[in-house]
Amino acid sequence: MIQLEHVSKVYSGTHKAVDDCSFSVEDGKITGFIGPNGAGKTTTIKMIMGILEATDGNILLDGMDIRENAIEAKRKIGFVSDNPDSFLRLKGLEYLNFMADIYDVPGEGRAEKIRSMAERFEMTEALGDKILSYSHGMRQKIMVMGALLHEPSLWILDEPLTGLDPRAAFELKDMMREHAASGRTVLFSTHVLEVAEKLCDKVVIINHGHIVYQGTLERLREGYPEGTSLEEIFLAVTEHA
Amino acid sequence: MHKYLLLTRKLFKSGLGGFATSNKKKKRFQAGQAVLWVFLCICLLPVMGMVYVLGRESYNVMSVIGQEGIALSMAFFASSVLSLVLGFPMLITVFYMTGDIERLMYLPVRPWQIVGAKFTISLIFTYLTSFYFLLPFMAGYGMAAGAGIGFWLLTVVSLFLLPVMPLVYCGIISIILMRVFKRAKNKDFLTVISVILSLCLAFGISSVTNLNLEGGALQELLLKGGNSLMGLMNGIFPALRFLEEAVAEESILSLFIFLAITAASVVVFFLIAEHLYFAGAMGMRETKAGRKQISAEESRRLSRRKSVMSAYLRKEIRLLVRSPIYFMNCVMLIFIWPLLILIPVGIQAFQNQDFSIGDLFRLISMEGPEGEALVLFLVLCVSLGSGLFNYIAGTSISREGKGIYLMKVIPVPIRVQLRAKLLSGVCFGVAGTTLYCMVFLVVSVFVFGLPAWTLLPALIGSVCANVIQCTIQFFVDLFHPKLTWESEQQAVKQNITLVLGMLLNMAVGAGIGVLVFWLNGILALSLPVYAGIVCMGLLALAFVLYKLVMAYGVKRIGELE
Ligand SMILES: Nc1ncnc2c1ncn2[C@@H]1O[C@H](COP(=O)(O)OP(=O)(O)OP(=O)(O)O)[C@@H](O)[C@H]1O
Ligand SMILES: [Mg+2]
Repeated sequence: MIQLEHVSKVYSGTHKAVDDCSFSVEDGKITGFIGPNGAGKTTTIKMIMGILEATDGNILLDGMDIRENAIEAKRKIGFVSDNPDSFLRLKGLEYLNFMADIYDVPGEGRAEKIRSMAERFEMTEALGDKILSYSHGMRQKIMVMGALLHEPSLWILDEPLTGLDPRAAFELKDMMREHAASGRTVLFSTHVLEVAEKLCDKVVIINHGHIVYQGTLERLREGYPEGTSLEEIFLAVTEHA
Repeated sequence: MHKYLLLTRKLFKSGLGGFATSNKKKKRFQAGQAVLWVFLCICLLPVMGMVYVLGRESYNVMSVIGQEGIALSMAFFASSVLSLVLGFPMLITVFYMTGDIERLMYLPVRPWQIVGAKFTISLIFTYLTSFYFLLPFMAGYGMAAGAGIGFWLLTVVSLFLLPVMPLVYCGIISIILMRVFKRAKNKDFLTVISVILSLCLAFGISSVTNLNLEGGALQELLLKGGNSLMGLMNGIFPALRFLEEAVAEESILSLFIFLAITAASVVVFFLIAEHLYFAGAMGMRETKAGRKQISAEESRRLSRRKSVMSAYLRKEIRLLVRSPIYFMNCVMLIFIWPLLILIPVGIQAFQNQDFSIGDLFRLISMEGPEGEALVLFLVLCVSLGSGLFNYIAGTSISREGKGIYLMKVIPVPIRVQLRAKLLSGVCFGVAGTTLYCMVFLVVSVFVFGLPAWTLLPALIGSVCANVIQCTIQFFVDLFHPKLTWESEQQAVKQNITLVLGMLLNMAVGAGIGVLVFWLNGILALSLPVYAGIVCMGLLALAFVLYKLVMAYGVKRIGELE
């Protein structure tokens, strides 16, 4: 459960990237966070993660303020950032073990867990190489694996599907569904409306830093004539704001 | 030509290796940046003063025997060697290892235009250092000579021409090297090794030069035209003779000859670059990727659970030593400094047959407390000197770059992360200074009868000195980290805070050294007692600094976003 209450972010004193946003991400659901480029998705996610300090407002993770119970709150989260280019000179396996150590994943069973996850993402052969030698999608995969290794209850994924091949995208979506079905929380941002349509129980649409819609896609559809495509609705919603 | 100028301008704006960097945040730092620069300049003034005096005196001495031109030759040669030493690592990284290369390679430009632009920027950076030494020297020389306008004009021209040739050498060597070893497996390693070799070579050259300046060697040098130094100089930079003639005798003709030779060398360089550069640059982008399954054994070894601290420390060290740019700039010197001392000593031993290694040790085999005090003091000085070689803690925040947010994502208290970063610097410092010293001391204990008790204060003092120096650097880096960079080169090379940290290290190191030396004279305690007191003092200082930097760091990381 993530709650945002009147959250704003002002960059360098003048540029208001996020303006008075309030929404909640509920347990047992997959929430999609969509909006045009530069709308403020990454900024919002970074505030939830405590990477950026919100200029105004409160953010609660399972009722905890990340500023107060930082370590405990962070341990519950699996976070994939929008930029997979970090730790490039570590080998894949070294990176995964680094993350496992940092997130207190017990030693026994760890190797098996890594192996099964690597098989799911078809990364078994690449684990011995440096991340530097990976393709963009492979980097994305290793970051996703690192983020989910400790079985976090809260998944926060910033554009996790960009660059993934159909098989990996399918696996990740499948994992998201399983995760939500077990009563836990998924929040992810995306530009791909079809994905949002198939996957999300709820969407939050942001435009120019304002939340312009939150709720199910079906309810959003109701306001438009039969047969209007999701794309057209999205364009209409983000145009008026 | 037009594209070359365009590229040069673009590169100049974004700094070495940072083609197409966005400078959004620059504005806010500019005031702070300016203060830092002014501070730096003030710190560097005394050295410039010394160089000025050197120039004046060398004119006065040499003009007596009518050989003032030799003073100029020496200065030009020294400056060229300096450009050579600094230029080689710079060019090899700027040409082959910065992140902008991939973006430049798909532009519709010729290889020589890219190389030319990068070369020009590197040249401008080289001017900074070469002016810094040559300008005061020439000023001193010219003032002493009471030179006229012609001299000054020619001097200015020569200052601009001088570093070109050494850089061309560096460029040609690095381009050929990278082409030849295009298929080499581990190019990172290759680069590091070639830079270390070139450093050793340059130190060898300069120590041969130094020797000849000592004592009566100068007279000898003037008598024998075919002296080894002159031979060496003419061998490496044959054209320098013309530049010296141009300035000393105000000969325009000589200047034109030098100019022509320099221009020709640049053209040759560009021709070589045109043909060989892309091949090497393309090879550089390939990283070793075995794509074979990791063995169950290795997988189990890696998957053994480690404490958070040790996992973080391992990560720091791996990222540090696996990047050739970081390794060369932050780590390398701390391990090879004894080499840089041993080479001149070795050459000296080779040249003077009556010199024996025993002489070196005679110092410490001195009977009585003076010898022991000297040894302990040397250990302290060497350990304090680590501040000049070890830039690990001092870049550990800057090296995070845009990834700094990850520090806030992972569920590890900032305090622990900072401790691991500081520790990574201290570990390398201790390995590079304390370890060497202890080996030396243990040998001395067994071979030369140094009392064994000296080992303990040496160990404590050396470790504390390392902690103190690393903590100071770490503080400076926290205070003003460079987080917006495109290539690793920018994080550790174009980071003016680093120089500031080094100056602080020097000041603190010298301060402690002088204080310890001075108090020894005043207090007149027995050596073991005094050594104990010094160790206590160092321990206390290290502890206080550590506490301060941790408190500050936790607050500071929170502010960075
Ligand atoms: N570090 C920063 N400093 C100043 N402004 C920033 C910074 N990062 C983002 N912005 C601004 O904040 C706004 C929101 O950016 P954000 O990255 O949150 O967009 P986004 O919704 O994630 O876009 P995209 O779909 O392209 O990823 C943009 O106008 C951007 O210019
Ligand atoms: Mg984004």
